[in-house]
Amino acid sequence: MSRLVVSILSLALAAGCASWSGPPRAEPFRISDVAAQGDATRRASTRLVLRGLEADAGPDRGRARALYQRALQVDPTNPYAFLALARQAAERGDAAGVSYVDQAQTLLALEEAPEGAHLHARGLRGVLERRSELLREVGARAPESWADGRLDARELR
Amino acid sequence: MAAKQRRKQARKGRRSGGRRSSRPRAGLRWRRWVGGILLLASGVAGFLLGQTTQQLDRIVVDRFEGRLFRVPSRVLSAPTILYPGLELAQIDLRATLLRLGYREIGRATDLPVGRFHWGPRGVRVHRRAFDHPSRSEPARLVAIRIRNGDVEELRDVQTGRELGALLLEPELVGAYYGPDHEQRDLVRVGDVPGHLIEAVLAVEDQRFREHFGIDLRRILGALVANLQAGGITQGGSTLTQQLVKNFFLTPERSYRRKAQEALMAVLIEVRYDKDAILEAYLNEIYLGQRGATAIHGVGEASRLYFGKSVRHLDVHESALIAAIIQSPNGLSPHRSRESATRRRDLVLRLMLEQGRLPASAYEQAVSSPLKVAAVTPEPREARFFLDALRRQLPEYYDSGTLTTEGLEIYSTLDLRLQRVAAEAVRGGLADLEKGRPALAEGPGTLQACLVALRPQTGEVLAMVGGRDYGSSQFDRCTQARRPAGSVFKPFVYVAALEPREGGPRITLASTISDDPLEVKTTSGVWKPRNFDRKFHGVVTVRTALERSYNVAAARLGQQVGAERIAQVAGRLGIETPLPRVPSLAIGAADVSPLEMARAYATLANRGLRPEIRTFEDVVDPRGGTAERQEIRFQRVLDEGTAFLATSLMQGVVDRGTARALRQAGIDGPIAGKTGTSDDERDAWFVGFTPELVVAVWVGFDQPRSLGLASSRVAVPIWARFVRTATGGHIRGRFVPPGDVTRVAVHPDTGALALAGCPAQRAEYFLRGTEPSSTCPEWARRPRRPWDAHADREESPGLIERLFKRWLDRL
Repeated sequence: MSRLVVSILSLALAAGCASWSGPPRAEPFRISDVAAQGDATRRASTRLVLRGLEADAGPDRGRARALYQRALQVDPTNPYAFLALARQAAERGDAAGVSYVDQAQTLLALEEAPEGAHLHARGLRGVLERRSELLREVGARAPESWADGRLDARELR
Repeated sequence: MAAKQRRKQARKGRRSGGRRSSRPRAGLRWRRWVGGILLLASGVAGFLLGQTTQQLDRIVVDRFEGRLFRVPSRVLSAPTILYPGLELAQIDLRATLLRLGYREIGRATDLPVGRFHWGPRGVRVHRRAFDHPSRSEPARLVAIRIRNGDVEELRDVQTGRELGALLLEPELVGAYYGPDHEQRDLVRVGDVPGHLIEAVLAVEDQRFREHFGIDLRRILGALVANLQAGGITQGGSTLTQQLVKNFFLTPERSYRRKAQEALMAVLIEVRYDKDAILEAYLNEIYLGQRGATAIHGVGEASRLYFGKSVRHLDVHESALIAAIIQSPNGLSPHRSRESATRRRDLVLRLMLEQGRLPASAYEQAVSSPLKVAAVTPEPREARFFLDALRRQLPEYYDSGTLTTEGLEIYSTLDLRLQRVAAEAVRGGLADLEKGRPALAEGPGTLQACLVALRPQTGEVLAMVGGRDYGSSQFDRCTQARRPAGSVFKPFVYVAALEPREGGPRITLASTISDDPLEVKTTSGVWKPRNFDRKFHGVVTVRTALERSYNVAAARLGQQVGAERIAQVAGRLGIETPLPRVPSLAIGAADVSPLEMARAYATLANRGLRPEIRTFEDVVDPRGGTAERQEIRFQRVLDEGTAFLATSLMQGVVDRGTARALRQAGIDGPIAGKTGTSDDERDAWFVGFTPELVVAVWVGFDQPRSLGLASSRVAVPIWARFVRTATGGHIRGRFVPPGDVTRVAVHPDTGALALAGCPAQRAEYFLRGTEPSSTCPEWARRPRRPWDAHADREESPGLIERLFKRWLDRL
């Protein structure tokens, strides 16, 4: 009997802990995770996005932006190019960049995009629209990238 | 006293002597006169010379200190991008390379910059370097492996590294010229290779570094030579004098002009150092023609003859440029390779003799074959785009700025698509006139316009504003406002389908009556009619649009209201003010094809309205980014409604008024709408794939009947363009968003089709708007899990979603 009580208590405790640990964490996501996905056009476009993020991690923001635009020239439906543009806009505090998030979210919804990509989009919306609840959410669910409330180019790459 | 006497006698003697020698005294006076006159004359001449010198000096200073050159701004295309998997036919690589001035050569090894070799299994290209503040690319030797017409692999030959993508330089689309129609690429003397300067000095002015503007030794030499020849065979002008002649003077041959030239040359030499003079000369000198455009300066000449920047010229190429200064057209290598080579070799010999070139370099240069870049005339097809771009450039880029500042405008234009568009319009109109000769007769010329946009970025990829820019510069894509007819109807359906408080619940399966309708208006009773002059009874919303029934659309418009229709059209991208009249529902509104394309792009872009973008950035002559046009859009419609409208228009192409597209063998995801205005005076087709929106309009500037429906006028032009543009492979698909569900309905009544329903087809609905009536009527509609959450207006759980997905699949 006592064993049963202990078991029930343990289960209750475990369930309680589980509920206290907050929302489930998403798998960390980087665009390089999806570099091999899609048709040849998408893959080429994503490679250009990755080159752009490499430039973005350094001082050459103009070159990064130009590469994102080239990525869209190759595949205008690539959500990751818009995600990278949104990230750059968020970094320079350009609120108009929220339209990149709109586009990224619209396009991500059309494909089997990893949850982490959706979370990045939500986080970037949080930064651009100054919505702390979104930042708290992505901070809890994707702390590897969003613990500091921002997403740098290396974290997205 | 004696002295007094002597003086008296002397005076007397002088008087008597004077009388005897009166002539010398007169001569003295004359000499005094002459001397005085000469003095006066020289004073006046000196004064005038001083004045003239001052005047000429002011002219020289004004020119040198002010804008030395007027440089037309150039417009460049979007770059061509190669990547593994790309179908080569889509970019027409060989033609693109040739247009960019690359030369095809027979060997694959030691490929110089700007050359390519087309082998059995691939292409080797030595891509040129490309300068841009944020998009610079170094010169790179690349091997492109081809398999079954696709790029299989890209590899940097020097590093052996595989490349993910290769960008080719943007192509020249055109330039904004001033009245003189000159083009030049300004260079700094420091950027000009030493051998080019030496070549120019060797043949044009070997004592340039020593003289003071005029070269007396050379003038004397020329004089002797001319006397010996009995006519003018040699000139004695220095570079500075040539510069003066080109900058300030007319070609008139007179001593006065020659004197002015010499004086100004000296003034320039006094005021400016030799490098400044040389730089001005190198940028000013006329060096040939590209079609109607005069090419000035070594920078532009280097692009014209060798397709590369002046910095990358070889010795023998420099010698050629210097060689043709004497007679740019007569000695043009494009005209006569032999005479150009002879003259080039002469320059090389002069360089050797004057110690400007070592013997080894001479041997190498003189044995180099003359290889010039193909002449790449400016594309004529893009003139309408250039005008549209000029109108979209910010206000401070006025005409004066564009024709003088030498800006580089990196446009969004895809030159390949532009050519395809021009050909589609040209060929399409020719076919129409061939099939219906009446269109080629009578007043006016049959016109058309085609504009292609990328919906996700708003970029204009191609634009043909009329049949022939030469005969009419009026741009029918952006400047014309023509009755929209049925291409306007999707906005009515969007206004009806869009969920709103208190609005009618209309779905694609809802039914509308296509029976006679009378609407009282301020100008009388309006009775809309269908194109086939028939009425079709009760039809579904889908059928009404697919078949383009006017009466049904007018009735739907009555339910929604003209105000709301106009508001929705405005939100989607129609900027022209629209009349709030009942007939707006069937397109009684004048709009431009560009705004129509934009509104459809909003639907293709799932409710995000793109800003129209014609350029990416503008770079000033100092290499800085002067202006940038960002990709921008705004959510103006929910995704679900945008998808429903798209699905409706897919039906138009699959089964409706634009099914000619399918009959023409165009497969893949396409949505669109035909439009024919009253009396068939305007024919439209606006259609889109997931990545491309194309609007086509056909008609006369002074409206008259085409006598044909748009499916036989505008649709074939659209098909011609899209088939070639996509290479027959339309990428992507229209995917329903999460809030759209697909259920089986009865095709005529739109009722939910259940077991026992005699016919059924799948239809899309915004979640929660599925039909409540059933087919057969007695059957009970099953309650499915998401009905419950639709009631609760909560999002479904995982189990529910999976279950729904499973049911949807069923």
